[in-house]
Amino acid sequence: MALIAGLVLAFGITLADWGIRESYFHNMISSDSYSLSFSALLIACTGVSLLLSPMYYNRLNLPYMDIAAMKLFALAGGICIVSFVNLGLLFIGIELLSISSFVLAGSDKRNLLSNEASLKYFITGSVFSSFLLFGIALVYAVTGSFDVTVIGAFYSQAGGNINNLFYVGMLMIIIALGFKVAAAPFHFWAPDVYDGSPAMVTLFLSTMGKIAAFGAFLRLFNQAFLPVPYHIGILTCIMAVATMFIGNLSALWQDSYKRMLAYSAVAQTGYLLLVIPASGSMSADVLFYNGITYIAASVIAFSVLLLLNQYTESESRSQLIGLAKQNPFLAFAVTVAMLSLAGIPPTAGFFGKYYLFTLAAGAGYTPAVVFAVISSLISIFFYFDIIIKMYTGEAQEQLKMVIPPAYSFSIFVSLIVLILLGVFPGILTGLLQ
Amino acid sequence: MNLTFAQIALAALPFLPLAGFAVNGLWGRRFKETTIGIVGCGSILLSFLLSVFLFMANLSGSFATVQVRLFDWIPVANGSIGFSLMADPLSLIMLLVITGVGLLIHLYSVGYMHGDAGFARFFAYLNLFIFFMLLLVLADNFLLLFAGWEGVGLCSFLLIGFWFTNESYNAAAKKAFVMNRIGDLGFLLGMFLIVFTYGSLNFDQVFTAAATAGGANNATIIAITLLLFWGACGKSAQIPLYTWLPDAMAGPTPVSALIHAATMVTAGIYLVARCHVLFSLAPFTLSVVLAVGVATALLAATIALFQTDIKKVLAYSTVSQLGYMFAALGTGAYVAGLFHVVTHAFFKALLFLGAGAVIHALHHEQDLRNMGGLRTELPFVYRIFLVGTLAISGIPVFSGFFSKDEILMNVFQHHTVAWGLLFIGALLTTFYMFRLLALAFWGEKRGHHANYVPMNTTMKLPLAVLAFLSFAGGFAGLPEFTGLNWLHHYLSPVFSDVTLHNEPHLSIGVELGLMAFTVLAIAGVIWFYASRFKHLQTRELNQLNGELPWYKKLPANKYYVDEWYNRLLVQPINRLSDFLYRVADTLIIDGLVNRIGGMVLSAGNRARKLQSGDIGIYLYVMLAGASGLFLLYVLLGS
Amino acid sequence: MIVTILIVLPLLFGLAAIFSNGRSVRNAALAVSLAEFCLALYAAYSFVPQAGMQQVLNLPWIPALGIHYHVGVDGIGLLLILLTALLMPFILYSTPDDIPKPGAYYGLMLVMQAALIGVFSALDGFLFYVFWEMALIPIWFLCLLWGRGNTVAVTLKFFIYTLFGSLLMLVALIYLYLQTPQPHSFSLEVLYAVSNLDANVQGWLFWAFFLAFAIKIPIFPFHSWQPDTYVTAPTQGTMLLSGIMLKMGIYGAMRWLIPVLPMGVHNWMPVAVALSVAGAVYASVIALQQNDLKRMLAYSSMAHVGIIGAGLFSLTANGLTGVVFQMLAHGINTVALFYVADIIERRNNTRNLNLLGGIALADPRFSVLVFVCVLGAVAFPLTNGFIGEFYLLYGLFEYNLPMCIAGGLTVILGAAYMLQFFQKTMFGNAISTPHKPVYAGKSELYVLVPLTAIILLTGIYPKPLLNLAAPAIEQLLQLAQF
Repeated sequence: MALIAGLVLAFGITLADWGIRESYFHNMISSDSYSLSFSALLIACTGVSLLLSPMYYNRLNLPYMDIAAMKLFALAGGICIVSFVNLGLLFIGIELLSISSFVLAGSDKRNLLSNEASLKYFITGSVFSSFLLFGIALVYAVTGSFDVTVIGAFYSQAGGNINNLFYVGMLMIIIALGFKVAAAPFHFWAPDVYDGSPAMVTLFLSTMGKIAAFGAFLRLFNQAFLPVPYHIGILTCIMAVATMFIGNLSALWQDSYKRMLAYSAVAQTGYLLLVIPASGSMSADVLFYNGITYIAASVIAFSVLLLLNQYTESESRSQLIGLAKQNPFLAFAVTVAMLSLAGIPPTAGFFGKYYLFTLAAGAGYTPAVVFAVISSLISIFFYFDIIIKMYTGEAQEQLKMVIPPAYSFSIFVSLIVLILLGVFPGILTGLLQ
Repeated sequence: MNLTFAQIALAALPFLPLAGFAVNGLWGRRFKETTIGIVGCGSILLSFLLSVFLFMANLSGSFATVQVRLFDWIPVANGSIGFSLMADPLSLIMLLVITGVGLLIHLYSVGYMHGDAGFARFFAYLNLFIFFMLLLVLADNFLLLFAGWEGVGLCSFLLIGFWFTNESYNAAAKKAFVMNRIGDLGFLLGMFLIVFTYGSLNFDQVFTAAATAGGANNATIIAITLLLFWGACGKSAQIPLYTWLPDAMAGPTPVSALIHAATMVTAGIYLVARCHVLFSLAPFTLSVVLAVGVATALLAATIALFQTDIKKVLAYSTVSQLGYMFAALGTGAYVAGLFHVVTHAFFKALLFLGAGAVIHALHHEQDLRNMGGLRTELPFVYRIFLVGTLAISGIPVFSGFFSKDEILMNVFQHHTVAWGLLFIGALLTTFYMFRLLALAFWGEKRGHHANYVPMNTTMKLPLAVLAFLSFAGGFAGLPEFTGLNWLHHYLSPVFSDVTLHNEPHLSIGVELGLMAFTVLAIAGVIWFYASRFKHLQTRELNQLNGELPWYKKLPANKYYVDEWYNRLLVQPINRLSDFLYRVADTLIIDGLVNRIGGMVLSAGNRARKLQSGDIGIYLYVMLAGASGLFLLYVLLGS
Repeated sequence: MIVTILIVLPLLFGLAAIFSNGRSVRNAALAVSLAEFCLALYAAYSFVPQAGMQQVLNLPWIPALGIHYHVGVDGIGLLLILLTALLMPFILYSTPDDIPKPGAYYGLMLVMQAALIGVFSALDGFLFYVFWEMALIPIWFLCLLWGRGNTVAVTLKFFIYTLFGSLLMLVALIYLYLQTPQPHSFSLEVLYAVSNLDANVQGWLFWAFFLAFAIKIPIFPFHSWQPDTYVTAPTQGTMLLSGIMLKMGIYGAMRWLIPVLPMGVHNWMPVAVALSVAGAVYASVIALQQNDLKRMLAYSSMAHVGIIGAGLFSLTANGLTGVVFQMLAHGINTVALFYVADIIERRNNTRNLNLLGGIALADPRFSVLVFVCVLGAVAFPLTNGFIGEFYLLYGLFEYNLPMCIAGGLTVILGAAYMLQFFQKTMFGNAISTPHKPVYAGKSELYVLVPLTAIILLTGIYPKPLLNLAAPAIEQLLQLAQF
């Protein structure tokens, strides 16, 4: 409870700081609307995760407090990387986030899969941390600064006449951050980690972890690498499209609900990745909007998973059959979440996709948008399968689900977010200008 | 808007039968037969009286044409097509035939349909038919004419399949409607071309525009007239669209008399006559009309020679006689064609109703092989039938003589070969009609019908009236040289602009000679048949029951035209339908869609397997991916 | 304002109904749909044909992106709204009383109505798209949950197939939006004014839009979702789909394709017309041999809309007049016919035409009503179908003669299969029913009698409807010039 209170306080502070633009620690970190809004999002995300935790960990008999601490460390890392000014801090924040994530992934000590996930994450993660470091070094070598504003000024003044090493460094950083957000072909860790980790952690990693990484990714581009070189843009677009297709295609055949959500998370990464080549004026808005939408939908989707875990060992999608009869509210919430993830109006997910597509098309990457559209058709297969399962057929076993208030609350709030943002997307646009 | 009485009468004319239809259709099942009969016949009687009134008024010269616009229907081109009616001498003649003969047939039906479960329905349909027929002849524009045109086809459909529990009757009904539709498509296209060319569908405007534009035989006008004639072929059962009419005999006999002999099938003649301005501008089309008419007249006559169903003989006879009418139109002799329409309506209605009387008396026996010797059993019917037969054969002073003679005369003047063929056709007509008469009434009794169903007055009266008209109707159009051709005189304002008759008229001598020649030939045929009918009949009956020689088998089997149509059109379309559904739609188009879905799913299966779980491979692929990105970067940058 | 009420009223009631339960929801839904009809009538009454867009309401929705809640009607939109509002009470009323989950059912129906009216009145591209997609969800649920047979596979295919087209349209809309002068806008007038696209780009955009509309209509060869969906959907869902929803595609092309991309349309119209006509003939031929009543009607519907599509892309005044009128006529006729199919199926437990028969003996009144619907469907003069078909074929005639002749073939084929349907079900002896059920009871009459009356009335006196749409069509033709 105290933790939650603390988070609420932190959330309040971030909101209270709104409109103040300051930097701290010798310009290592700055508080601006970008950092504040993303920080608030990350805090909220962690808060929900903590809120949902007690029931889950009680069943698993795991030390709830240790895990909560790790989550808070991760949150700290996340806040660092969405607010960084200095590339050094970016690295530190990422490491902070990553190392906590490794631990979290393995937090179900008695579970072999969990251990395996942790190890895989750790090994691959450390490899790609080196990429980040190398990239930062190269950028520093060319520009002579770790400060993104300085780098940005240098780059834009150079106007193309810049040492090629700069681009190599940029690409290195893209690869490293691509790994962090689980973009193809650096996504391989994600399905295994998301699947192997305890469901609670999967939710945390795939929301907080991912959005934080994206926050860093875009912040770096917006501040340092504007305008995005066209080739680099195309490369990221290719990564984005590949990610979508791999995520969506792989999700088709997953019988496990959790694994399907893991691949769905990969696919969603692909869509979000479209903001990177389109960095610039509106991109922060777009990312933020999509972040909220994605988190809200994930919270609902994972809440059901967590609830199911409470009653049954099976994580099969068929557990959802007939859910609508047992619990219409839950089924409705999941329906909205799935529609949102699939990008069907009038849910928030549709507007998010629209926003992304417009951004990418506006930046001149229309073919990528066409591919994105086609891949989202594929996603209908499995998102709608969930809906179909819930509304048709009879449940094999009658689970008398009791939904704890914390769950009801999180689901309800997420639901409101999805619908409200779907109908009035305007309330968030222009927030980060 | 001040309406004259004539206009009100005109406006009321078609709607009286419609009212009759509505009353009998809505409440008929609760009425007694008498009530239904009164409503059904009464509405036609009123229409008939109004027609007579209009006709008288027209004769007395109180108007040349009368027109009434009920309301605007739809805008076409720059004008508006009105729901408007028009009566000129041409319409009035048709009007009298339709309501007059229609009334008689209605009366006859009261007796004929007595006791039928669908009595009310029958009269409702008949009234509806009259409504559409009146709409057809009173329309003052092509579109409304088309409405009537399709409407009579619809009623024909309903009445052919009147006994709808019989599947083969239904098939005949559908065949009639679909074949009519094939013709109607031509009509529709013709209308499109008319609006396109003349910017209107109103008769006045179109004909004026066409006449002023002139330009005989230009492609457009030929196309228009050919398309309209195509429509007329469908409705008036001409080659190649005639096969529905014999099948249409499935309907109750009064229907055959009214729709498939006296009125509806002559709609094509009416259409051509109505559009004579256009047709006269297209001599090419007229020659097509002549050719089709002559061919149909001969073809149907040969088929009629071998039919054993009493109604089928009459049906083919109708097709053949319609051919005569078209032949007349084809020579530009519109009045002659219409004259034959009128007399044919009399005698063919008479023959059909007479046949109906036989069928009625014999408990629905229609096969000539089971008749014979009815002269003594049904003397009244025999006498009636004889009048009809003489009329259709063209025995002098009977109506058919005058009308057919006028046609032959006109054709002779125009085209000798066509005349020769029609002359042969006339002989064949005489032959098959006397064969029919002989098979049914002469000789010995072959059937085993003991108690004949008696006829009541409502059936006898119409027969008597029609017999009189068949006899005397020809006096409306005495040969030209007498100077007493009333019909010609009456219709002349309508056809005043026909400029085709610039050839010198036949001299009286030639005309009389031809007439005498024809009559003698016909009389010879009659003498030949009558003198040895017993021998001919026995031979034929034996043959009909056994195997026919090929030259008789061919026409007896209607030249296998139905079979050919079936094989060349119906079956291929059905097979195509099956093919399109099973192969093109299910297998190819839908299959392709499903295949795309399947491909996505199998791609998913493959994508899923990339995730092997082996971290070494992961690292390897990820690093390969990183180098790949660099490579791509270099390639794109260069 | 009245348009907004027309959208919001069923939306609110629909959403409320989804979460309610109980039998009274049926009456409430009917009341709402009737209120809608009255409102729509009032809108038509106060409509001035010559005055262009009316009942316009333009509120900022997402002002930063130039997206507005911008609705209004011209003659074409109004007629379609009128059609929707007219058919909805019948569709709701024809629903069986014992339908499971009535709350959700009627709720989805009303939401559907809101979305449809939204589509027909949106003047903002984004809003149009949102309504367009919004209409898909309720119908998908309706087909999935209340349909029969293999609903899961069929509805999923239907959904993905139509969404495929829609998403392409979305991309095209976004592309167009980015071509508008700064600040970008989705507004109809602004999109109409976009003129800096070359023929090539217009061609691409044309196909993106065309696919969306062609799949929805459906135009050959993008139709293969349709027969299965019509067959498995609940009858009321089929009525919605064929009666109103496919008009979304036609309307969409009239409002968002032809005036926006005149050059693209001009370059590709021969293909569009050819596909439409080919599909019409194709579907007619297939319909000849169908024994499944609903599948036969599905192909028949496809044949009719094929001709509508051809008239649409012939871009002649007559063709477009025919399109507008035939949309109404087809809506009424097809709803009536699918209802008839439903009645027949419920009484006999079969849809197989070869097993049916003798209905005219059992219930002559019913057969008369069905006959009127058949007449409408075969374009018999003095029914609504004829007026539409006449204009359509004439438009096609002006465009291209062979196309017109091919299209005219459907008139013949249509007569063949519709009469076959009528004879097989109504005529003959009753094979499948030893007893004589009443086909047209009181509640069936309440639906069929008004619909047949409309079929006849609008066929005899179509002028008011034609007058409503004429100025809008004229304007459309002007916009289609370039």
